[in-house]
Amino acid sequence: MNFLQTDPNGLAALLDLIIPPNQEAGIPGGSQVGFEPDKNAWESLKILDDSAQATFNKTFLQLNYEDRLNILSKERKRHKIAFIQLARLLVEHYYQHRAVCQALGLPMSPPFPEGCHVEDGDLSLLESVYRRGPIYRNVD
Amino acid sequence: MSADILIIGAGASGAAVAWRLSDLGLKVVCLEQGDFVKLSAYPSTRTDWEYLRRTDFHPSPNVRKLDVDIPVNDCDSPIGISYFSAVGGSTILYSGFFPRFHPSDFKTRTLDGVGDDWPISYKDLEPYYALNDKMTGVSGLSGDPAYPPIKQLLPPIPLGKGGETIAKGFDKLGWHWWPAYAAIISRNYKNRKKCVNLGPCNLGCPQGAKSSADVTYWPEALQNGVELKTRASVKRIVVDRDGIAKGAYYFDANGIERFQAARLVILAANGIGTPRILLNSSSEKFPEGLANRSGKVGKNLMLHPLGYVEGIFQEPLDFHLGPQGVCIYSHEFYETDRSRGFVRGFTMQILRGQGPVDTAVAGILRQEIPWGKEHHESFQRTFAHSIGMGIIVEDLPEEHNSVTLDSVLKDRHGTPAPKVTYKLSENSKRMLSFGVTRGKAVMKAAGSLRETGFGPVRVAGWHLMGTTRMGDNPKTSVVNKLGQCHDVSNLFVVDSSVFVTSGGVNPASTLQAIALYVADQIRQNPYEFLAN
Repeated sequence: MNFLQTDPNGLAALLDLIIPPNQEAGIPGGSQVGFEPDKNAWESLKILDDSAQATFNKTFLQLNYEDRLNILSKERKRHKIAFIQLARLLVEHYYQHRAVCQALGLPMSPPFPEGCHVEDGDLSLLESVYRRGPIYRNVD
Repeated sequence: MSADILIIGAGASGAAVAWRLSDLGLKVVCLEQGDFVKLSAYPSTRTDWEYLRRTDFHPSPNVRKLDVDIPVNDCDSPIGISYFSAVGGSTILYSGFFPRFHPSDFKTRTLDGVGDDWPISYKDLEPYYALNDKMTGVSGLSGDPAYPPIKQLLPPIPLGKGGETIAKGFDKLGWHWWPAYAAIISRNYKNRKKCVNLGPCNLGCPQGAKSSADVTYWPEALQNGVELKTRASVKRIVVDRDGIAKGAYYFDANGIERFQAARLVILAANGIGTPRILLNSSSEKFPEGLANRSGKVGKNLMLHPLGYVEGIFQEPLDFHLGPQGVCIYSHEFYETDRSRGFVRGFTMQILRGQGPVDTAVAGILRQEIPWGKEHHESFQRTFAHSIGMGIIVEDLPEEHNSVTLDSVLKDRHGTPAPKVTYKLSENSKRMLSFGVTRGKAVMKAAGSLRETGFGPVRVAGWHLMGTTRMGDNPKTSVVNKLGQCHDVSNLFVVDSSVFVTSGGVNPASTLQAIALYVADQIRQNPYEFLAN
């Protein structure tokens, strides 16, 4: 196994690039929600590390923030499916995490049994639709 | 034990026909490949409800891969096939949008020179639409100028701020809109409790307010003595030397092959399952598949290509709250106007916004919610700020769109699985493009900041129609106007396979009305159809 495939700090840096923490607002970053990386996540990190080595002779983790962004931006264009898959799984996980829901004011309980209140709405808006008369073809 | 009547499939149509035939004093047995889904098992009872849409409650059997699921080879179709195997069938996961066909939908050849006329009319079905509404519990508003009078509706499902916003957009353009017909009860109805706006109706309703067939027809049908065998996967229907159906072989919950004898067989297994069973039931007498002397079994598959439009608004609309698929709809472009560049028409169905996970995933995939520093702000500008719209396009019957048996893919019992071959017609492409453009216009008129739209949506093949079409001519159709197979006198079909054309609306209301209509043809003189 390549050492990068077990480098949690490198992966954390990548996840926080996709969804950065916002400390002022108390919003966690992508690395702070217990996301369990799959094979694709590790492979995506390896792509970034190889690119960082080739360009800067450093690992992805050793780069500064701007260089990480540049590398990610370049490689996600070349490896669209891998990075989209990683981002999709991350947001699926992220927006169900309790700390994220709490920070963003999202519902933390299931829809059932409480449900919610929805305004009836103003049916007098239908006045002009009524006035126009039938619009179907009566064929019988 | 031998049955008088064997029904195959306990979904929308199977439930309706089972109930309607349950008080004749005949032994009625129904075989259903799925099982009951307990209300408490629905995703909306859990905090990770959006995750379950990607697994056990995914629309595609190929993704769910539950042991009751039959896989479908839909690689040769731009629209993926969706259905759910359970008592209640795909109504478990439908959104409950419940419009009827228009009268013109039954006469497309006469009126517009396309498709074929049905051998029955809107008038023939009208009493069955009404009976179905009564059994189902349908909310809506009478007086809709897009339809002949529809009465006895429960009060409409609330519009919410988003519904009102988009309604103003339609008004601004002078276009038709109306509160959606909803198979969701807005008031307590027949021992069922009213809707409390849980939201994701298309993941099943733990409140029991959505009128899926397991909570509408089945309780009464079972009370009346119908025997429902679940986890019973039908392999083939058997006929004798005279071409009379004698029953069906099926695999029970333990995988043991059994035979259910019957004097009359009714297929209600949807537009994919029904032709699959018929094609799997070939014999010396029917070498091309049972009841297939016309060669039309599996042909003329119609799917309703779906377009999707979304508008993002400045103000929060809280439109992720409330029944997801029912709010308002428009039939402004339903009837044919050739100046639009296509024949027939479509429905604009307003969809409430998505939950946080689906909002983020869609935003990421469409690159509307970026990665990095902009992510949080962009998410918050989108979530609860969006209005969606489905463009449901009428699909015309074309023989090359078909269901056949896959030469390799099989279900878990080794029975050949269906293969779908489907190509989007030029008429559908033009209609989709026109519909998406008009959808964006409504969003803009309602004040959206930005609009996106595309089609056809891939995972949207819920409406499975036309594969055992109804007609007077045995050479060009599979069943007659009674729903009876031309080739097998005691074999009937009641699901949306019998549709001659697809209309431009969700088919559940019409297919259940047809099931009740066919049941009444049998009720009038059952012994005329029951084999000895």
